Amino acid sequence: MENEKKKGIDVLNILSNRTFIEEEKSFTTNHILIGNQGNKITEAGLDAVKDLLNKLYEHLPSKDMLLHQKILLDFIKFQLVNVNNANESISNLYFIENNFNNSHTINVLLTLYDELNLTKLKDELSFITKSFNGVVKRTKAQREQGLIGEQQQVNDIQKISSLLAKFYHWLIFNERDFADLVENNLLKTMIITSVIVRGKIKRDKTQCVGKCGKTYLINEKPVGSKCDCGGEIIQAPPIVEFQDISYVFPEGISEIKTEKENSPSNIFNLVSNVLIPNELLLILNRVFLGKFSQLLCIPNFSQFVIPETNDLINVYAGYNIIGEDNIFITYFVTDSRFNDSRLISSEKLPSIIKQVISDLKQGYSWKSTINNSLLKNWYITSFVPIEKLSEYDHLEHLINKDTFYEPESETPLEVVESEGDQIDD
Amino acid sequence: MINIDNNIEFNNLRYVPRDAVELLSEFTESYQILESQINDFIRTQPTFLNEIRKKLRGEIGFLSSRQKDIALSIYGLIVTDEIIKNYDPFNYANDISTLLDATNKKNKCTEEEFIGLITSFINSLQAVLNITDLVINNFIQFKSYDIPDDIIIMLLIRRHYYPAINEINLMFEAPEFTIDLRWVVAIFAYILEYKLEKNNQIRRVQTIGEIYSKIVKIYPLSEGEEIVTDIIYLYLIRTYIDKLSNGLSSRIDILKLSLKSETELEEETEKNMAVKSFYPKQDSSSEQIVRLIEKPIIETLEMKVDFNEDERRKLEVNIESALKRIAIEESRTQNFTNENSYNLIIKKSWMNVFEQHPQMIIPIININQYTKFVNEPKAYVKENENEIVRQLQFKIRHYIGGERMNSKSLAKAFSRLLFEILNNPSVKKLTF
Repeated sequence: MENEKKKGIDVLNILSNRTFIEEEKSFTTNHILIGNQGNKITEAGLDAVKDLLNKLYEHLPSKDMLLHQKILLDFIKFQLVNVNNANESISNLYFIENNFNNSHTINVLLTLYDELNLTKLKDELSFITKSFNGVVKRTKAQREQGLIGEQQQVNDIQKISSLLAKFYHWLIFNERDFADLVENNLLKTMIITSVIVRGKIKRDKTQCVGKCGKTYLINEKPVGSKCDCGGEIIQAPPIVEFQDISYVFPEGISEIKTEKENSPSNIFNLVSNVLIPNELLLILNRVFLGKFSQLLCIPNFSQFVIPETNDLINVYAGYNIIGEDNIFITYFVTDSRFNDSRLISSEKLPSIIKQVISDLKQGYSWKSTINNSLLKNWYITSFVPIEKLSEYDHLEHLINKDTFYEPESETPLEVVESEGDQIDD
Repeated sequence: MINIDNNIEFNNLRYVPRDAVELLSEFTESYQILESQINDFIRTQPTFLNEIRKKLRGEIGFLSSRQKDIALSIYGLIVTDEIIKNYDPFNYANDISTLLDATNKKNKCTEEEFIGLITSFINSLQAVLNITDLVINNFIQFKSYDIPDDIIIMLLIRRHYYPAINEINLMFEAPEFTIDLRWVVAIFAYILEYKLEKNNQIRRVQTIGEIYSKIVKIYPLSEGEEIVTDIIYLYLIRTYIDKLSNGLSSRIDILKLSLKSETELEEETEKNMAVKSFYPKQDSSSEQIVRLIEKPIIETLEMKVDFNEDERRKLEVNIESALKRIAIEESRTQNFTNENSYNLIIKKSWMNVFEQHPQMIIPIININQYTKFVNEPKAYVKENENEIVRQLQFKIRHYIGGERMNSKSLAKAFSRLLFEILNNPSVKKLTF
């Protein structure tokens, strides 16, 4: 029981709907649903959640963008890992987005459940978004005809959206309708690129859990001191600072994908978008009064959709923490748009991920890890610093330039080996 | 509160809509049947048609002469087939005229289109009747599980009305009509009122046309997947949920009580069972069987339609798949390894049937008990439950023959026993 308490992060389910009815004007309803064992959320915590949602909406595409945007985020699943004990994954954080016409839904879901079926969750949210859109549309038309007043409109919208939110929460936590790991996706996807990013885990920030919610450097305001607003100062959650990156891709990738999508910085953006906005973590830490201070949020699986064709891009990720603060995150990007014999079906992905993560854990270098895997015939680039990525327009430029990895020289890729075997217990 | 975690049976309380292909073939088939029925009706029932034509002169004046014949003979068919009992001709005329208003073709449709439209109308009435029965049954179940009201509302919307309304929409797409969603909702509201009237919750059932006109006045939108939830909530849930709750309260209480006592009974049996079942069990395993055998029983005993060998074979297949489903849900295999589970199903389902129709135990009981039984049939069934179950198991064993008891052999025995009972002249003769 004691152990449970220490490990358990309370269940939090934030569901927010927003519909734009005119240029500037929108209807938003927020529902914060807490599980049975949940602590009460403080007032400052509630404000923080509202702040969070507003910030998240800023990232959401507007209606115009929806029409032109090529790739939209569907969902991300994160693992919360204790930095003091890398093998202990504590809780899961789900971030799901949905759009319908001019309506958006955001769901932030914090739970111990590991087995939620994301496709089903997405379908249910799509129902919620549509239904919300419908009630706003209807009340708007009724108001224009003078059938109802503003208050009635607000009430009607609130009523339906609260029913939808309660039901969603009930499905997840009471009926457990979504507890089903079998994602029945009929689309055939192919592995298109793999990426490894090296980074450092930074733990040099503190934050205020009071009204202002500011962040400070640890030297400036150490843990336990008071913020200017009177709030308590706690350790801010650790974050990953990316350093350099290496790409693995098949021969002739420029013939398979368009040039723009092949730019190394675009691929980096796609995978690093998967890292949760630092903002979200800071706010969750504020809501839960420091429970996230030692938790590193690492992406596990994410899905993007191409609205025009309903094609899917998935990013799978695995991590290795080596020593105190070195982290390696390996990403595998799969895409349903391409079907080329040079690519490998994503059906093989689970075994590839398993093998790559375990090889890296055993201290093999990135190069030999890939050479041992099914991706052995693909190109491997050496590590390029993140800030220099913009200098390259195309993945293949990374091979042509002097950074291209040549089989004779092992040095650029030896980093892992030199630090290897440390995380084995 | 009953624990519904991991309960697969609970999750099954939903409406599973038919797909477009199925609906289209249903449409084609019923279109052809209806067309020939209409021609027969026009040929054989000229007096009926003339009379009703005079009566409805004003109401259906907008139809062409041939359309009038079609519309009126369909009315005749609906009334004689008793799809809706006591369907008033004026209401029918009003329904048809609003139906035409609610389509994209209004009065400009051809004769084929008109028959197509009416075909879909009749099919949709039939479908909505079935769906509403399911809604009512499942509503009772949800209520008896003590699920919060808000969640029940959403279960009805999300898992019943939402898929159902999309299905009805598809039904009208078969003859290439686009139908006003408000009209579809009006069909559901009408059938619900019709059911509620039986429970004395509603004094006068409004016609589909009346309901439609009311909705149109205040609900400004007529199409779009996104408004379905909203319109269901406003015109089906908000209007009728309290009446539904009141009208069904006694049935809900009975089920609650029986759930309680059956859970106790099951706990007892579970203790004795060697195989642990994965899912918490509820009454529905026996209810599924009862539901299957109910139809032939009612047809034979109340409607005096004979239960023949063909139907018995169909029933056998259905019972077999139901038994397998139950077994899979409870023990992950198609057949229970423990005969006790089968015995429990036999006991519960048949005793349920015997309580409703005591005359059915005549072929089972010992002949010297006959007088005792006829004097007080219901009390007899209650008092002699153990004896009846023993005899019942003996009969079932007899029909299973030398085989092992499994889902297949039990289904055969179930249907044969039912065949024997329903073809027994004394059973047919007696009513209680």
